[in-house]
Amino acid sequence: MSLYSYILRRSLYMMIVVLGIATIVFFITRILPGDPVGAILGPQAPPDVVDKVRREYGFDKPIYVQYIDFIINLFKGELGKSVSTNRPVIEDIKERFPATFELATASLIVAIIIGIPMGIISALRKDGALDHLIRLISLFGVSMPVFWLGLILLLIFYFRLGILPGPGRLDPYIPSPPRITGLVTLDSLLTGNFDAFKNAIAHLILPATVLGYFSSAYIARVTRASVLEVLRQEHVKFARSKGLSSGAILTRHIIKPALIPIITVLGLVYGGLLEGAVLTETIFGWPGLGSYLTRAMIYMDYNAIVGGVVIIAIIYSVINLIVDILYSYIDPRIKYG
Amino acid sequence: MGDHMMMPETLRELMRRKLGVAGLIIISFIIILSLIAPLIAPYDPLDQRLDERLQPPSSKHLMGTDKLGRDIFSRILYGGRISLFIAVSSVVLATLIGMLIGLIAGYLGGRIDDLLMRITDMFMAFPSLILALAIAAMLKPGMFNVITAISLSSWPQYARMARAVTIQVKNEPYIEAAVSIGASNTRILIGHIIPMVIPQVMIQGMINLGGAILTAAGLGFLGFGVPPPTPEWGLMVSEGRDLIQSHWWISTFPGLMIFLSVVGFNLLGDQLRDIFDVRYR
Repeated sequence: MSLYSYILRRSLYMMIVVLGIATIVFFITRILPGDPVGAILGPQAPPDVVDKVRREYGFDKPIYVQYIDFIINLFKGELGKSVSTNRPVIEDIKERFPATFELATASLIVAIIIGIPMGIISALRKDGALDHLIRLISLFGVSMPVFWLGLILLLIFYFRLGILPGPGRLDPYIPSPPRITGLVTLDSLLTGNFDAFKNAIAHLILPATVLGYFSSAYIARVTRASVLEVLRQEHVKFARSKGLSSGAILTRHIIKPALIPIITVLGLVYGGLLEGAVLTETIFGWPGLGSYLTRAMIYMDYNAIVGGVVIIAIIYSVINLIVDILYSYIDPRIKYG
Repeated sequence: MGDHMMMPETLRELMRRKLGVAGLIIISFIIILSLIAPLIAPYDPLDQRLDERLQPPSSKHLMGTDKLGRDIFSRILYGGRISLFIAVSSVVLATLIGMLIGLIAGYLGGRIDDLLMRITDMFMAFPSLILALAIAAMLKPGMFNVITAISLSSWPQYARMARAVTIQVKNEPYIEAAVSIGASNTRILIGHIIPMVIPQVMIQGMINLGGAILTAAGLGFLGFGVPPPTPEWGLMVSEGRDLIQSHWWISTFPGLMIFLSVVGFNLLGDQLRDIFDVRYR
């Protein structure tokens, strides 16, 4: 099968999955008890006002009519209007997505920087003290509540030591660079504003460490297994017998082939980062998709919840598709199928 | 692997692994503390003493007091009951849902299998915490709603596992033999298939207990979990969030307990995973 038709087929399947997830979440919000208009207007709101707002948002229609409207809008790229921000959900998401993308990418870099060396050392020292120590460190990473780790790190590095900035993407006294990509780091670089760039990086350190540490455990585990697998193979023994230095063997014959399977888990890790972003963004006052979704859930903002979930499902599926294509490109033995 | 022989052998294998033993000790410690909470807690976990608000850890209040003057140590002891109960119940409920769906899909096969597995795929193609949040947000805060939210978002992996085992067992010659002597579907399911499915799913469930505690704590922290004044650990962390700079102990100790119990379950889970080589997918 050609790459082109593979991508086409996978994209079609992806659409079905996203539509399915959208349907599930749509019905979760509509069938379970919960009243967005009541949550926004409060219990003292006069009934006629509540009715009017409910009509305005279409919540008075039968569920199946709401569902059909929702699906039609979805295909038009519209996600309805948010009850709490009173703006189209898609606009809210466009505004907030870059912040999450920036944080997730920074976290992925942290996770790779921590996870891959840990996995390699662990494998080379299999069953040794260092291996056990590393496995313990990564086990702590997945066992730590991210919201708590975030708070503790803020307490130590911001409140007590004062060496890292607090919540938010930039210090309040630093003017935001003009919005080009929405990524503060990139925008400040593009406009040559290095003070803002340095400040944005400093703001990224804590949340990216919290999220990255959590995800590094998974990367370390896969790296360890993958290096062990390579070590068992004949070509390593051959390289040794040929008299290659152990450094050359390590980089050329062990690490390079071992890294290929790690690419496949990056998609999974990215999904975990989106999930972790919900809690981390709340702690660090990060104006991204995660904190948007949390706020939407507090106000039972149906359209914002469903919209946010659909976007996350799409991002997650697209990343997995890219990872699969990348993988078959790097390792031609893998057939599209 | 006979299921009668399994538990004692697993236990012996586990005892040979130091990290597994460490996990068992941590969990037993936390379970015992929660069970004897009424005997050892110095104060009532709900008792507000406004003249003793926001006190730092001292001999009188081992872990200090919160903004309503409640003793944090006592609340943590009682909180263990809640976190453990939520984690175990949600995993049990999720395994039951997953087994039911996996059994039906695997045993009946055909279109029903296709349909059920496509639904399962959809649930798996999505971060489960966000799904749990959406469900919990729509239900009113409460312990049983937290359990419902966690189990409704985590059943798919058990369904896949139960389906795989069911299909594997269904094709064994002795099942064919049972069919040929006229055994009913119910009898084959109850007598032959379910006993093989349960241990596998149970082990996977035990591996996931730590994750369930984290999810429950996350829901509690965001305010979608058990409502106040219940001493749930995640909720307790959030109660100290705004005071972290001046009164660090309010959030620190409950978070430490979440961490400790999840470490315990994960240490145990990792060893179980090694022993049984359970795969996620």
